[in-house]
Amino acid sequence: MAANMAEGAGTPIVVDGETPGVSGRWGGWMQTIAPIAPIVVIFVLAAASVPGFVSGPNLIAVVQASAITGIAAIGAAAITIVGKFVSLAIEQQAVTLAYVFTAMLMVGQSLTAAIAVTLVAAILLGAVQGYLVSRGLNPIVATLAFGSALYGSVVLLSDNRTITLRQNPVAWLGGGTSWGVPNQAIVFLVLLVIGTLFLSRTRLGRQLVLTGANPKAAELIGIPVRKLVVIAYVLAAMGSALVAILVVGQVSQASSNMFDGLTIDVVAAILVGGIAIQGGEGQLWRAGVGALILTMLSNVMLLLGLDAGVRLLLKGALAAAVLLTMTVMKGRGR
Amino acid sequence: MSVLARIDRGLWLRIILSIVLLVAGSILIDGFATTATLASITENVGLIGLVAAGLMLTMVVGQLDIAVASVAAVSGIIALLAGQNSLLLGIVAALAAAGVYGGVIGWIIARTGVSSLVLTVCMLIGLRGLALVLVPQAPAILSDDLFWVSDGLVARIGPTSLLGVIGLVIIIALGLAMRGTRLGLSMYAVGGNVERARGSGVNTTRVYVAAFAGSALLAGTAGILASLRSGSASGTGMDSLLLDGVTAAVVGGVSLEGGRGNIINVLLGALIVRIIAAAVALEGVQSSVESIATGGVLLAMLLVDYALARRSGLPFANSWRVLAGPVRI
Repeated sequence: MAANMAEGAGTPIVVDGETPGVSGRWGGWMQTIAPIAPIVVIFVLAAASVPGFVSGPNLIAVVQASAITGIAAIGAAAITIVGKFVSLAIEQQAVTLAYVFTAMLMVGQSLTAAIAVTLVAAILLGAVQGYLVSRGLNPIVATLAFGSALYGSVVLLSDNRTITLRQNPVAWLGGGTSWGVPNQAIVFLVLLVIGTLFLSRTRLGRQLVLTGANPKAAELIGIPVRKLVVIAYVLAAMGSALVAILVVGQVSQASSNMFDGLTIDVVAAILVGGIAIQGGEGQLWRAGVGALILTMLSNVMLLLGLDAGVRLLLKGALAAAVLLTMTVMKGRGR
Repeated sequence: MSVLARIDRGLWLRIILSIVLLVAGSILIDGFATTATLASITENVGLIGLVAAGLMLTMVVGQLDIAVASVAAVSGIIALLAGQNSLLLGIVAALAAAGVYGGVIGWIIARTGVSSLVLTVCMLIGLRGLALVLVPQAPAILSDDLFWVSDGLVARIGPTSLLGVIGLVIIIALGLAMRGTRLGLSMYAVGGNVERARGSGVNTTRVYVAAFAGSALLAGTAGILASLRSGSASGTGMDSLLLDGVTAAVVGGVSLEGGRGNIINVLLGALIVRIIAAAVALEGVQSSVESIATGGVLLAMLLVDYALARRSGLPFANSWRVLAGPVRI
């Protein structure tokens, strides 16, 4: 058994349409439920032990806080689903797009023009990364380099200044509520539904999933694998653009450190939700669930008075635990 | 023959590039052609070289350790915290922790087949958290009566400092071990073709454990040396080591596909990275220029590698290779 599993490390692409999930009903059920279990556990424990956790305002705050990570994670999940793990430039591209959006508004452009330019910039940023990765460059190393160069450029061009909007035309979207629910949270949920439908119901979505599941087979049946990788990075950048617009709406300004830690949160959400391990199965909801788990965990720890280090430590530990549990369970099924 | 020619061409390319950069720096930048600048460059080559050499170990076996910067930060902190009374004890404790951690990671990767990239990203996050837990507010400080250690490390020795010499000695010893021992050669074999290596009797678990323990030990050593040099270690420090180390390794021609890489080229890669950093620092421009330059050099080198591989008809296996394992992501 152990020898069999050890074979995996470093083997080239496993060309298999038939890597089974966990065999048997039990395993399958466990895998589906695994990402939800922590939410329930954390919720019950927190409700019982943390005063003030199950209050309306706090729960709304949790959903709102997970919205930003969640939206960015839904976008980045496209990269995961197409089989390239993640981009390490999420934070940097969100900062860039926030500056672009704010600057457009500052120079007196209309909201429509500002949004259009931000989206075009996002498409460009995504396309460059996607092109590099689709040629076969290591996705993590290439996006690390790209993010560094991009961030340096933005800090240089903006002179590391904070741009503040006097009039904020998107304040209602970033900071407002509808029927008591923060608009950011509504955007998050709507995006989750649209994304799920996109993956399961459209031709492009299904091609993305298939490419991630088995790139060689996808290529053989004529799916334009490289083009799909580019599209996945563009979708991720669009997610960052949405995040940038929402947060600018909320805080009315753009600054170079406004998204500190976003990349780590997104990567952790993708890992904790288990989408990274399921890969080509394309279960987008896992990205949203991951974001929710992490935010709830952070919220509880904040209420308990634990500091940032402990929160980061637990994020990493939880991500590793989910990763290893699901990997081992999947290995057993072989 | 053709393989040798290729290695030589790469070596000469890097030597020429280093010389061109040094000459250009001396001509264009005031204060570049001084012994102080040179010593600072070589000292940091020792430091970045340690991280890059560790990355090379994991890259040669066809994996990648993304957590090196967090490992360096935690190691530096442990050395200073545990070294309050006896510095030697602190250093030993930090190295032991790093070595055991790396060994466990390597063992998990070998046994479960989990993608090293994904697992070490978890560790990057978690260990950064650990660093902040160990020193939540003010950084850990070297006690006053140990300041001679900091001074000693930067004491000039020839064209470099004691720190530079320590780094270079470790790196060169590692390079010799990679080429001269069974374990070292096994690493290249596993990175070249894991099935064939296993078929010819290589214990792959041992190879992965050695690669990741080595990577953590080298990153830990770099972290300890850097912390001792500055006399302090903060929870948020050293995060630039990842980009610098990866850039040095990739500019040094270590293949992300596994099976290729040699220490001399990695040292030249580190030299090129540090020359650029020194030039940027001397020009007095903002540090953002350094991240543009380093990121740009890394990207350019990845593309050159890609173009060369395609031209010579070598299979530039796509990036799915590094992410591979039974776990496809």
